[in-house]
Amino acid sequence: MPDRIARAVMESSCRQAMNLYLVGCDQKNIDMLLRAFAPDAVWERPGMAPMNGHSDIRSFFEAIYEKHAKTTTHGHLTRHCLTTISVTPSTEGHAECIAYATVYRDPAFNGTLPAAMPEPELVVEYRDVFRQVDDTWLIWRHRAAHIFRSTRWGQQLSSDELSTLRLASPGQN
Amino acid sequence: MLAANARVQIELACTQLLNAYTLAIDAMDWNALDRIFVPDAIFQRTNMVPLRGCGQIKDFFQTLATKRLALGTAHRTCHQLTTTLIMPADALQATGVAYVLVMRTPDLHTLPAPMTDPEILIEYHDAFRATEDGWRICDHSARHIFRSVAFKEPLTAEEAARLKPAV
Repeated sequence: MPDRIARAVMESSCRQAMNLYLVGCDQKNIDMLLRAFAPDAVWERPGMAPMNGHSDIRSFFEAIYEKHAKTTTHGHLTRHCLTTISVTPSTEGHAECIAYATVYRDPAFNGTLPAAMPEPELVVEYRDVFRQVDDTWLIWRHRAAHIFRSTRWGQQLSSDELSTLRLASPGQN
Repeated sequence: MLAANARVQIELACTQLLNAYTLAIDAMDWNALDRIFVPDAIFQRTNMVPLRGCGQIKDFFQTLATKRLALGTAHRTCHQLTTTLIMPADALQATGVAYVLVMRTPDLHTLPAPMTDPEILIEYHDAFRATEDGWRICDHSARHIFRSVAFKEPLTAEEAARLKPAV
């Protein structure tokens, strides 16, 4: 495959992986979002220890959804709007990506659409490293930093809950 | 299973269709919809019965624009396509999920308009089909996920019922 076509394939595959991850999050579909990640992916999120591999990521989301289910019938209604996305090749079989997403959330969703339009809760900056796996590209290193954050935002899991999952940051507990 | 470059061509073509659709709506270029939808496309919006056929889709938008002009409520919109996931099924079919933030200003002619919050966050679900003329949308569903209280319903049920029969 000529270099320019290979690069176009790489860029498009990385973009699709980011979109798959965000739509999977919003649909609360853990299997779907995990398809965007390499099995040995490492995910760094503000206020907690890195998640290592599909198992950690799955446990994290299961814990969040279980917690939401105790307080609301329908869980949070969330949409991650991906805006800027820049993908560049790095070392052989790897690519780097910087992306922004604006996050809208209704933590008290009553199950009826549409919900009232909230102010954006976050602007998140993602920094990802993708790894080529066969003919596709998967997220291998994923880091999310909050650039703008509403006062309405709250950590999804408490330090104790993160500790149970062995995901508390070193300074916690 | 699709080869990587075939998959990418489909993803790019379908993403471009969604960009073209949102730009056509903002530009009120209803004829552009002929190059975006198949002639027998199905088009579903929140709180409306499905529209059937490109002709009916164009009639809907034209009726809406005419109504707004008559009422003095015409406005400029800016549909910002954000998250866009395209899932090719095979070489001839694909589906997609996309989020669109819609901003609106009542002034059609003055730019820049005063900064405003998005009025709606819409989720599109689309089915795409390869045709002799390239990829086209064959089934489009738009669902309001978040909506401001400033939003007004575009057409009453009676107005929607007066649309021409499907082509």
